[in-house]
Amino acid sequence: MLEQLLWTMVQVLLILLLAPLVQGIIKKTKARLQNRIGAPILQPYYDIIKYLKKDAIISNQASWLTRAVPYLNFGIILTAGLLIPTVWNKTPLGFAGDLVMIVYLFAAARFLAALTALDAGSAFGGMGSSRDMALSAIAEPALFLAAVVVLLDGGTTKLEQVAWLSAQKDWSLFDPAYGLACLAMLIVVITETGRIPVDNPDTHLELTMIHEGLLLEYSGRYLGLMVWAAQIKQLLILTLFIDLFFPWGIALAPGLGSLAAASGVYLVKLVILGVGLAFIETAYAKIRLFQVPKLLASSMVLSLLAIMVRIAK
Amino acid sequence: MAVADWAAILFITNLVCLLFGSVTPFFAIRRQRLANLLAHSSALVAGLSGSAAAAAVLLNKTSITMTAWQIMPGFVWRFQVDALSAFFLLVISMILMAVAVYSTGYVTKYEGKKNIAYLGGLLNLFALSMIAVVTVSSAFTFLIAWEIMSVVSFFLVMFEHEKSQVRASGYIYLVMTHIATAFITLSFLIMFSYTQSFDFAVYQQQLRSMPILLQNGIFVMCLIGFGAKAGVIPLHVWLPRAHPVAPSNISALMSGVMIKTALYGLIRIIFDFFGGGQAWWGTVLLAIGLISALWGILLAITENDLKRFLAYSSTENIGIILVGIGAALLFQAHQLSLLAAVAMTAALFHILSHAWFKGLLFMGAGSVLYATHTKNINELGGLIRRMPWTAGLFLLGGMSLAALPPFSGVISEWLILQSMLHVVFDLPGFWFQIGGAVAVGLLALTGAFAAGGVIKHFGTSFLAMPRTKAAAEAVEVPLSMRFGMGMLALPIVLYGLLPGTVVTLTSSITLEYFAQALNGTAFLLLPFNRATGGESLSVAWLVGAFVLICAVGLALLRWKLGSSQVVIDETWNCGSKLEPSMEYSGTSYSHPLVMIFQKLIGIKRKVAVEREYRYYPKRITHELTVNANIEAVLYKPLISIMLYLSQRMRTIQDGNLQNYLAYMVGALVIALIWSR
Repeated sequence: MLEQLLWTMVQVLLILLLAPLVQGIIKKTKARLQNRIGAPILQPYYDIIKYLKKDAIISNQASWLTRAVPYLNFGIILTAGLLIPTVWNKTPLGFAGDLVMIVYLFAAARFLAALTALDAGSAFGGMGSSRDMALSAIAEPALFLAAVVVLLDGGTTKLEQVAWLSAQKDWSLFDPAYGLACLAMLIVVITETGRIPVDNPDTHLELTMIHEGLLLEYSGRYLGLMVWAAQIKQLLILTLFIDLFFPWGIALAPGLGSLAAASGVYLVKLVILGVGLAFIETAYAKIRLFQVPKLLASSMVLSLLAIMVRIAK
Repeated sequence: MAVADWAAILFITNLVCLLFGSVTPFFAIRRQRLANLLAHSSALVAGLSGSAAAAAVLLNKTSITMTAWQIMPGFVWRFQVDALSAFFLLVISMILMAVAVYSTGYVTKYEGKKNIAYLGGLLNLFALSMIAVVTVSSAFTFLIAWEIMSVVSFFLVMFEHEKSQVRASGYIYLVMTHIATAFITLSFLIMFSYTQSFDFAVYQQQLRSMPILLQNGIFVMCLIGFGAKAGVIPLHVWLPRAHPVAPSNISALMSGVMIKTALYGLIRIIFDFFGGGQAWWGTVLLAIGLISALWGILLAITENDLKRFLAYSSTENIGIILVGIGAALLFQAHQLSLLAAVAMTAALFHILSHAWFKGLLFMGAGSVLYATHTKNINELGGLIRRMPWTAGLFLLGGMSLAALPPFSGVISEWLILQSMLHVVFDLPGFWFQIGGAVAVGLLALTGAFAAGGVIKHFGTSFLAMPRTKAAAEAVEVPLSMRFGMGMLALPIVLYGLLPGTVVTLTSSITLEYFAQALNGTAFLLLPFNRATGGESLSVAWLVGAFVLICAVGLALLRWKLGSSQVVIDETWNCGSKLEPSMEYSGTSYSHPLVMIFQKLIGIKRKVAVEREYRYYPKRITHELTVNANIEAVLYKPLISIMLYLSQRMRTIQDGNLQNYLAYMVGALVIALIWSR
């Protein structure tokens, strides 16, 4: 019981503190790739602290939803974080939910954010909300389909089990089914974290924004919480990707030594993924909104192919 | 007295109250207030006693049997409440309770305009006929109850018959509901001709040995008949027309409950009479369910009419339930009885959960209609400030519809997704596994669309600025209406957190059909009964963790950084004043999805530019209509064929009396030769 409680606190702290770091790494890498010096890696931390200290301005049209949602959103995403294995394959609330529940929790957070974007009555919020819902609606099945390939091995959606089983195996990425599914999942990761070529996280321009449109009416502490929550979600999606496709190195038994080693491996994997995302973001241009469904459809087709290969084997 | 006796007494109370409520209001036509009170208080008591009776039957695993009266020798009207009937009795009674309370306030809308006694009396009769449908024990009485239900609901749909739109919708409903009745009658006639009996008990014993061809025939007819009543695509055309035009308390009953009686019929015939039937039935139900779910929600999201959105969403939810039933059949055909029990539990849980939230949402839409006299979301806006209770309850129902935790909708959707994933994991056969994966994807898609639809409709009608005067001047609805909605919000929250309790209720049904009962302690749902491994779900624990996180986080924020200061100011609109017409409308909200899926749903766009100067148009009007492709492709040709045939048939109707007499003689002669 005590071990469980302690582990829960460690996991929460890990998620809270790592999320801005990953964002910082991606941003710094991107800046370097574009021949800019860029802000320091720790800049996201400074931003969040500053936001949290500032007063907020909210619209006179806004209802209680605008005030409540930043807290709800943050809480829901952090709760989802308690269902995803990070360093140890045991998760604090593993008995209470599985992969399906994680997707539902993300959906709940997105639902609230997208709803509140309509609250101030500005057209920009509605635009961002409408686009976000349209794309995430198609990203959700793509995520499930890509995950099914990995889940087929264990016949379960319980991530503890899945990570445990996959970590026992050797480099199964060379299995063609896993390779295809991994590629499919990468597209979903890019969509869900709101990165180029799907969404441009750095602008508030009418033509390009999707996720940022939801945050336009927020300021001060509310904005800080929303931004932090988005970074946590990004970290969790990356962790999910790692758990499903590269779980090697995850600690399978508690113990200070194994946990420390697993933390190191986890961090390395996150950095590699972050740098990879930055490379993709620099190498591609943002595509038109109505091209994104085609990208996601190709992700689904890849997953289906992967499932066929997997079953036929 | 034994529990079964108490249950029987409660059930009789329920029937008597409904009978009382359907007759007495007509004696109080001159005193509308009294009629309102009589009708709805008896409906409330009926709902209470019905729920209690159903719960007693389900929890004690007993049954009620009683003979009402001998219609004529050989035909007996008998009520028999076994586990399945009791479950549907519970669904009907629970919604009836809430609707009864809600209606006392809602019908005051018609005071002085329409006859409330008529509405209240028919509401009771409608509930009585639905309860009869799910509790009678012979084909003959089933069909009588079914027909009464159809006709009474038709009268209720036509309540505001002075509007031409209502008449058109009512007519389509009448046609479709009778097509349904015709097919159901036909399938019962086949059963009768095989067993020489109308009795359900005989069917349970004898129909399993029926020739396969006849079984398949009955299945197809039931699928058409019950499918039309349930609003399964492509037989759904009446549903988005009839539900919106009926009074809102009636649409809550029709959409939340009446369409479920068709599912009762399907489950009764497939699982009870045929013991699971053929393996391909499952595949067909699954496929039809998926198509209904996806297409239903796509059409729902394009709607700008609050009640039509809810009606289309019923088509989606019926599809999801059919997916569950189909999966149960498939698993049973492959001797995976535990998984079959999971899928069936999912379907039953969703039946209950959909009844709760759809009832709540229709009542919410009724409240909006009551306060603003419109259900077009593009004429609403900002209602959350003027109608905070309605807004909160509607949001709660909407979140349950979108299968978001912690509400009841998420439990059933989780179970359905789990059973679909286990189609992929456990069913042998390449195509089953691929099909299961596609089904998982499509179900996830419908879930996400449902969330989009709720955001669109809630956001446009309740948030931001009011777009019309009616919306700006709306006031909160009377207490009775809020209370009625609250009565359904309670189980949505409660049984989202305590799913095990509902699973205990349905376990007697799965025990009967699959010899498997699911495991559910109150807080934790373990669908696969395995001590180790297998998935478990506990929304209550997640909520607990969430609350803890929020509390600690807020305390830390306060302690370290002080409370947040908030300045309230106008919404920034690039320097110009924000007008309601600048808000994102419902049409524009769903536009991206409509564009992405335009091949499926079919859109027509018209842009008219009125020019005064060359580069500065005076006025641009943009019109976007979604024309449901199904209707154009399937129904237009059918209707034209029918019209053509009736034109041909008219030649024999020439008005000449001698000719008519000749027809009769001819018919008589043929009949005599036939029966010789």
